[in-house]
Amino acid sequence: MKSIIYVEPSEGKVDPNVKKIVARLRKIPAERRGLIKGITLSHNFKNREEELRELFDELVAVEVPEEYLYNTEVMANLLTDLLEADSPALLFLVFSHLGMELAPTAGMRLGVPTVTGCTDFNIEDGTAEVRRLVYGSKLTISLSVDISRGGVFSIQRGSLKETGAAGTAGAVREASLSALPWDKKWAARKSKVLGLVAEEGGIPEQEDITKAPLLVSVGRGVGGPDNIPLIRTLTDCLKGTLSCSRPVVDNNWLPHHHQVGTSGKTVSPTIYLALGISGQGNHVAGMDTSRIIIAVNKDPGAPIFKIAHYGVVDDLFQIVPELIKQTEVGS
Amino acid sequence: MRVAVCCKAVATDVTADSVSVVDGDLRCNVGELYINEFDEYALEAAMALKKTYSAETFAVTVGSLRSQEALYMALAKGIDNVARINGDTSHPELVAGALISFLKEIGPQIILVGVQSEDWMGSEVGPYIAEGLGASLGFAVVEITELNDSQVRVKKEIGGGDKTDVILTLPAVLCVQSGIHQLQYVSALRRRKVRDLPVKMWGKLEDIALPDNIKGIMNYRMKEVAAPEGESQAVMIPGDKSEKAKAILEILKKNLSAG
Ligand SMILES: Cc1cc2nc3c(=O)[nH]c(=O)nc-3n(C[C@H](O)[C@H](O)[C@H](O)COP(=O)(O)OP(=O)(O)OC[C@H]3O[C@@H](n4cnc5c(N)ncnc54)[C@H](O)[C@@H]3O)c2cc1C
Repeated sequence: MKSIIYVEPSEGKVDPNVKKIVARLRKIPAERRGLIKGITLSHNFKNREEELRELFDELVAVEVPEEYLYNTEVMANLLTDLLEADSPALLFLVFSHLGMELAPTAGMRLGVPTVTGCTDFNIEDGTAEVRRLVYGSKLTISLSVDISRGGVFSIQRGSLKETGAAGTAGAVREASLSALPWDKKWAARKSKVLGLVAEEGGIPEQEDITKAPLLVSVGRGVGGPDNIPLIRTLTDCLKGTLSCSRPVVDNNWLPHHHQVGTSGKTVSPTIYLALGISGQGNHVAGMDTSRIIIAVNKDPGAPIFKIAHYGVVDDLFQIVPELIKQTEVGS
Repeated sequence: MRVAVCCKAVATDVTADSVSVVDGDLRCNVGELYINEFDEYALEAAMALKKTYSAETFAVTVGSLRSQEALYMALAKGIDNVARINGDTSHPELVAGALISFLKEIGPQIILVGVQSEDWMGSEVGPYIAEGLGASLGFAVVEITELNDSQVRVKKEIGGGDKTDVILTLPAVLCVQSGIHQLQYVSALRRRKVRDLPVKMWGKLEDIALPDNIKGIMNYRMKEVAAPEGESQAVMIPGDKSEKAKAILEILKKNLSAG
């Protein structure tokens, strides 16, 4: 049995979630989780060689033609093929857009148990003990997974709290690297990626949410477009920048460049003031590294309070006008 | 052209007391169910295909009688045919297995599924269906730009605000992302009216023979459901609205001026 991690192509450094998965695995005795193997694309390997080699016991960098770099059908083909060669194995992915698509596809092709969006896992003898969130992240369910024939697990971003990927203090690791040439059998048969869609241009600098020290961020709790001006007034009073959760964009209350989260921007401001945002995984993944998170939500059970540093249980329509009033008086 | 939408009725207002694991499955005793938000967007996408391409539309759900709420919403939006597969389960594999059997029978070219359900939050059903039918898969689709007899062209999210432009062969399973179209308002009168329309029961979950790979992926046991572990780290700010606002402004002042 091996534990195999798919390292998604990413800009900059290796995704910290991948490192946390490795760190968690290293805490589990080797006889239960086997060697830790990384699979990545050779295009992703360049400039990250050292970082990746230190992380894994074995590393495979697969050569993929340029035209297929964004093709998820190809990724599913090669991943299941490589998994079959190592069967029985445990496959771990990050619960990203790609991970959401690949985990069930790979699991079903291999016919092995598949659990997505895991927030915690441990490997026992013959089983994996797993937790995942349900019902808008308000509840958690624990599962016992029979891994005798392998398994596929995708891990919710930001959920593992491990620090440092090496796990064992002072261990110096140098993974053996296999460069795997492209194999035509992985080619796409049902899909063709024409390219990336050009990004919307011309975002005013004062609206760039990735650079702002203070984000005033609004969620569905704002109720409708008529209430956005109130939040804009607060943002101006505080000399902050306006950001939001996905439903605000879906409903056309604010344009997409304000969106924080897995399908929006990742932000890390000094202060993130969350107004009427529940705090579900796909939002939190984009802001949980903010230095200070202040959440205003009328539901005391809202998941945002689990990650916030300061919490206010109240109606935002009580708090926001009061914040504006006190700022105006104070200035 | 046939378009099928797989939709689910979900409970949204739950607490740890209203959900439990019974006989290895989740049981939720919250009275009212609503259509899963992502599936409502899938219904809008189906209606757009009906208008542009004169597609014949189907909506199907797997659930108990209560879950017909999702189908009433489908009818109210203008979906042509609805069917329910009887059975109450939260296992996405069982749901997918039942849907695969139904979809094989009606043979749609486009299958629309919400990208995630608000209750299980797993995003598995669409990919399972695509595998089970040998169909192409588009995940997190935000726009359907072209459709002909053999292909569909879509824009799909890949994360971080990026999207790809993709051509998929038919049949295709499209996991629809929220915001693909604006949700159309459906009047209360219209919603009441469609409740008189018959809903076909296509079959029962327990009678449907599951393929072997579905049995393989289900090889796990649900143990227990609870409120998430670990106390909130947050310092809760007490007081009336004026005191709360004052405390927030102090935190801002202290930390922003400190850089
Ligand atoms: C593949 C995928 C990608 C996604 N990408 C993103 C993403 O990039 N960003 C993102 O944000 N989401 C994303 N989502 C959606 C995400 O899962 C949640 O649905 C979304 O974050 C919820 O937004 P919200 O918190 O504003 O709304 P809700 O979850 O509806 O929460 C609203 C909150 O407002 C509170 N509230 C209501 N009224 C008031 C009031 N008057 N005063 C105070 N509080 C009030 C409520 O108690 C509730 O907690 C994605 C989902 C998927 C499946």
